[in-house]
Amino acid sequence: MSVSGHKMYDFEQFYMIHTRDLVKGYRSQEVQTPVLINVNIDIGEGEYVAIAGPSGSGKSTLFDIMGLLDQPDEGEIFFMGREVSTLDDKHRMKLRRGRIGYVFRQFNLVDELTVVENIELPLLYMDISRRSRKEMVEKSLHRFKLEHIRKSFPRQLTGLQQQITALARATVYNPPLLLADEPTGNLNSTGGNEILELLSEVNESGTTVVVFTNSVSDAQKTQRIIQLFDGHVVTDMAQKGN
Amino acid sequence: MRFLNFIKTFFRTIILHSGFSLLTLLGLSIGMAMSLLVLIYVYYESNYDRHWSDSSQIYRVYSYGEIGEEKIRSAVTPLPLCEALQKLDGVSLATNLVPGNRKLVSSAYIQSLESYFYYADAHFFEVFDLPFLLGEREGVLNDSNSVVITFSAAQRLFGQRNPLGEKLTLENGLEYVVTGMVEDVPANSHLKFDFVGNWLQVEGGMRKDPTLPHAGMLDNWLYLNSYTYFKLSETGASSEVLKQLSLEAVQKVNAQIAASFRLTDQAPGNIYLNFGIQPIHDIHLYSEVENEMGTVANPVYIMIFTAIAFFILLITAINFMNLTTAKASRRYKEVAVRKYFGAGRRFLVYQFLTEAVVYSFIALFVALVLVELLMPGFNLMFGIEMTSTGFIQQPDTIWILVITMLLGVLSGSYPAMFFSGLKPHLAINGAMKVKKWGVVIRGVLVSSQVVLSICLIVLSIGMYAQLRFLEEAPHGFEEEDAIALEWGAMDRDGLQKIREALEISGLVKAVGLAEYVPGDDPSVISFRQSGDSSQVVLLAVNYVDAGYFEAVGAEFVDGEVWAENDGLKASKVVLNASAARFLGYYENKQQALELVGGRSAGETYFFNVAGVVKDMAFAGVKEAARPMVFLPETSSNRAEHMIISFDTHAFEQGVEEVHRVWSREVPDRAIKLKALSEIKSGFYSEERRFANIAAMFSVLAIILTVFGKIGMAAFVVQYHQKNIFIRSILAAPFFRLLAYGLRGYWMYVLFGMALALPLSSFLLHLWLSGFKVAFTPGWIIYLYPVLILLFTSIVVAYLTGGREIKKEAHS
Repeated sequence: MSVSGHKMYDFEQFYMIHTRDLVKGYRSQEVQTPVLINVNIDIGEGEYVAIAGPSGSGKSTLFDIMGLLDQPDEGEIFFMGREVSTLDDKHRMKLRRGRIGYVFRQFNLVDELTVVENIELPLLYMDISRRSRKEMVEKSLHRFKLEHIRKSFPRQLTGLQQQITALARATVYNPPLLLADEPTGNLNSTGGNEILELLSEVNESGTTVVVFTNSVSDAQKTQRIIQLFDGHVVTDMAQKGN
Repeated sequence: MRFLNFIKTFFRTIILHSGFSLLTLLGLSIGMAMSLLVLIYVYYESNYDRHWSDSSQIYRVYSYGEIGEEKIRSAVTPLPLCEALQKLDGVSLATNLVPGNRKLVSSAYIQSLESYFYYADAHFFEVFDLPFLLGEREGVLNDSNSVVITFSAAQRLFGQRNPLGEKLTLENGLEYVVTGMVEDVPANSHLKFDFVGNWLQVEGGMRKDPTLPHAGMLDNWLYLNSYTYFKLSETGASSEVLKQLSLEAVQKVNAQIAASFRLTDQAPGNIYLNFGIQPIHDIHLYSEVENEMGTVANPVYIMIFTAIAFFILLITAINFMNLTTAKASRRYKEVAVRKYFGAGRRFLVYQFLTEAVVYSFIALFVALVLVELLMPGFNLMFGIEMTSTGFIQQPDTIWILVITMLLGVLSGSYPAMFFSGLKPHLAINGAMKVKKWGVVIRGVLVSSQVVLSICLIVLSIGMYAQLRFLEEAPHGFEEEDAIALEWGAMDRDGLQKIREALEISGLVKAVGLAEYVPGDDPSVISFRQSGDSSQVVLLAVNYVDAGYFEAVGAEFVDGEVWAENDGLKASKVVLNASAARFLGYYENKQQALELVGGRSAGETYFFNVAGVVKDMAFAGVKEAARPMVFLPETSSNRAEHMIISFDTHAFEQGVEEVHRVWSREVPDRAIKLKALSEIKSGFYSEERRFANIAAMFSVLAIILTVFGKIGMAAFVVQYHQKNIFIRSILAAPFFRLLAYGLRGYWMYVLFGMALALPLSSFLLHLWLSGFKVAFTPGWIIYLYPVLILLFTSIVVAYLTGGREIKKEAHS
């Protein structure tokens, strides 16, 4: 599905993410290295999208900007209809709290916390009562079949179990948007497939899911692939059969 | 609750990274324990005499004035002052305390030579409300023959028996009946007494027989001999009392001066005496008068110690910040994840502050245990009797908790700022760079800790060297193989028997008698030079016999001692060199002295100088020797000590012999003797104490510096992480990696050393400049601290640096 045909004035009502001519570069000493060049991406609510590209194509930078963790040097980015490119750290943080979930290649669970506590962690920063938190965590444990390892620490888990826990943590508060940065990168193919399946299920339950990956086969499991190369969007196409 | 989550994470962090966490905790605990000990000491010193009820209403009167060239500032006051004081507006109660000499006190069971016998009026225990263990406070001193004794005095004289109603006989013939037993006077009181007898009995005797020695003191306003205290009435103002007191005193004193100096008109301008008042709280720290009952402290030390306590806390907090952020990358992931999922800066600040505060409270617990363990050693070092119980109670617990809380917040402030400011997307990818200023800050910290350690070590070595120098300086007496035996002014026959028995033992070189021995504070009497009646001089007076000079090993520089069988010996005196110089003995061959005023009938008042001895350092060589005149002891001015010098190598045998002779001749009396060498070493107890304290702080500084260096070493390795990794891939040997990784560490350590050497030399010379005589410090003094610091730096570099490098090389 292509979304470029929508009228300009109503995009905010339909797009989860909408970028216009994003530019981002890194400066080291006197040399400016461009990383993203005029990137225009629109992702609608409820989509399951892969942003694919080899190393160095600008995926991670785009992940940071779309995840409201970094600012572009130029251009605009709208998140749920709100222009966020010039927002400061504090406001971006408030905006992403409860609205964006993150899954990483390295899982990034907090080593000192158990599975239950890791899943509960994002809820601590939202205004949610203890009882509701407990209910939400239980629901999530059940949804991802993690009850049997609820008291385990990350170091006691397999890579797959860790990534499922990370996914549970990212979705426990039902965020409208889930960003996954190479979620299968540290897993074997079986594990990777299982994670992609789960991401698909998350998407089916209404969350917009964006997977950043350099694996073509992973990308093909989504509904739409946006191909990045050297900082440019080279193709943007809907998947057949998805 | 978020708070619980923080604490949970904190404890799990400690368990997961137990090595570094325990080190951090240990650093915090040691720092807190040391500053607690110092604060307890400060508290102890600044709370003297606060245990009396209404202690802030109690004042002591002191005397000040001038006689000739001599300025007087004395804690003792004339006897009639108390009565005059009682009549003033604003005074609810006045009382006085008259020191008795060291005297032999006999109960029905035992005799004991007691140093702290005082006389007081009936109000004494109303002003100073020591708890009564036996007897009633009300009217306890009403009878003229009543005496109140302390618990330890009762144990000495009565053992386990009930002392109430028991009789005590003093060697001056007075008899007292025990009417009360009080607790011992607390160690942090300026008062030091074991017996308080009713003064009326002494006064009554003097009134009946005015020829008794010192009888003149009863109504004499120039005779300073008693401590006077008063309690303000509820509406009284101390300034008003002082005003009235001054008016009253000037009249009485002037009349007395006129009478004593046989002047019909006004007293000469260079003689005056007046009175001041001081709250009893202030006596220990701020009193600048002489003749104190006990020793007083210098408030500057208290300020320095308070500053040191807080300085230790500050260094401890900085070390904590250093250690908790040295291996920051360990927590980058956790912080980044929290930030990804919506933790704002505020939450993270709370989290890290909570951690630091919890750390501080655990450290407080460990520190309190350490304080209990270290207290006995600390008491010994400071030469005091303090316990932590006086301090750790309401409301001081609140203060400890507040200080711990603040320490936690201070310690946590930097980690909180540091971590909460992380960019999560950089931290999570390992792209966070350790900033150079982190190295600089830690470097400056390490350099300053090195400077502090070296200065303290140099100072403490210098203090011990100066102590040795002082002890080895000539003191004008031979302390080796000599003892001072306390006798008291009693029964000469017994004394003579002991003397004879010792002389035939063949172990004794010489025996002499003296009223004062080195270490005593001799009384001072005013004399007139016989040629110049307008000049009044104050000289310390010591009543001795002819044998004294040989027994103490005094060296005559002119003339000789009187012969014991000389019929005219009562009019002969020996001067010390200072007195000879003071009186112009050498220039004018001034050879005669006249006693001024206060003499009783038949007393000799005109003396010829028979000889001059070298100065004897009665209070050590720190102070110039006082001009002193040695007079032959008489029946009214009896020597109270026997000085016995033994033949070389016969000291121990000789002391045994003294014990044997004593128990044969006076079996019912406890013997009291002191080696002169012990007395001499007592002169420098303060120097020894401060040297010990400096040594203690040196050790602490070295420990704190080690913590600082551990943090620095771990941090610089992290700073060079990438380069170390690359070099290790290129197969660089471990020691090359170590040398490379720790370049910055060594730079700051060596910089600190270079800075410390001139600074410590300056400080040592500054400290030594306060002494009349001082040693010359050699270079070796500076070598020791440098070696110690180098050694600890190498160990830290090898252990911490090495460990971190191995980790980085394999990461």
